Amino acid sequence: MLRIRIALVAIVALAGSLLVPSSAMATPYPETMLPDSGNHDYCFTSGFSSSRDPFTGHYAMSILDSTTDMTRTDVGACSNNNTDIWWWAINLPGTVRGEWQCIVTAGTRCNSADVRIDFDQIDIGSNDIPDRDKTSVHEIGHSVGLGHHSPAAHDCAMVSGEIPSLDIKWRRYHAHDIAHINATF
Amino acid sequence: MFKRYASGVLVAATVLALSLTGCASEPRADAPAAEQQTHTASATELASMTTRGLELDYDPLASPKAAVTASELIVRGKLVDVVEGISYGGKAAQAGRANAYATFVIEVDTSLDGSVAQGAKVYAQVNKSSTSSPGDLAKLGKGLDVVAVLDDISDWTPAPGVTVVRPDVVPTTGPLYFAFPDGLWMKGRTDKAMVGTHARASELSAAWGAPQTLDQYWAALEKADR
Repeated sequence: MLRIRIALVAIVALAGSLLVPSSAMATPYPETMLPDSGNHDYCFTSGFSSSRDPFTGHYAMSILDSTTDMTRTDVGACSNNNTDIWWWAINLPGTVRGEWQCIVTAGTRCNSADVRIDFDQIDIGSNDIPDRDKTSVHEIGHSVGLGHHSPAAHDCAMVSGEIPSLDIKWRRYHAHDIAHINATF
Repeated sequence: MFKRYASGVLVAATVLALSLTGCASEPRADAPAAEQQTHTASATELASMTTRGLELDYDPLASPKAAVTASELIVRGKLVDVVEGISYGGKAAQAGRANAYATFVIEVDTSLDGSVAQGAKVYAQVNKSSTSSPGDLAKLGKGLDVVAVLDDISDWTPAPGVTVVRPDVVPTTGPLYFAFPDGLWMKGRTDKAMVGTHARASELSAAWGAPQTLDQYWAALEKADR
């Protein structure tokens, strides 16, 4: 069942990426620390596995895999401090919806990071599931060098806060960002 | 005789020149702590080091009115220190692998509702990089002018069984403040405009009126608080 859902996500992602406008304002890259390789292996902590929507983690990783040249590897439960992404579900303070924090560095690059998702904060308002997916894609975007794109730049998952609409572009990386990622990995 | 006189003058002039050079580049020993640090403080560098390897997604404070409504306290003053932040106790391993906070110590000049006395200190928790120490941040930040929109997170629990442990500097009772990611703005002498720790001024919504300076940002908050 999970494979079918992921396959569907990949198909939708491919279709979505074809619809992304080709013109874009240039944004610098990387805006955050780059990962140590082109493969992102990831794991779920027990709290994330038992959270209300662990699939959003798979979703974000599959978007990275299917829309860029980077790849992903699901390693299951978290135990190895060198796993690239540890997914957490916790209550974050204030208005924070999610955070990406590099925990183990490798020179100037990041070897392993925590991605922490606050479902209660994200679920304020409407469109909860697409909103969770946006924040998950957003945090993984940070893990591959993307920063926040202010309104003066282009529209994509790297905008802060709730999705402005159900348009798929808010759960995707912009073609400009993808070009940067693919040129690096 | 003339040679001895001339060399004496030369030595005195050299000593005077060196001492003047020293005065120009070093703060006076008797200057207040914040004043001594101001010449090196950089909000741009502080923000960069605070967020190295750390990024947040957050619900923005949509307008000055929203900021006033969402916050428990809004202050303007000087950043006088950065020290250890809150840590987790109990089942701490359920909440992440690293301490993610620093305490920004703000000496208050004025607060929006006037509830904090001038000169009092407010301790704000700020999300920080796991690779930057509070000492590193303090070196860059002491003396910066600051406006902080603060949430009271005294009752916050990160995860079941996880407790929040206040650092020694923070009073054990009373509010525990957290700076909203887009509610902490700073400026030093070398910064061209106000700088956010986790947000850029260009990310503020149109309702803010495109503030570039702390005066403009503060004025927007004051107007919303009327």
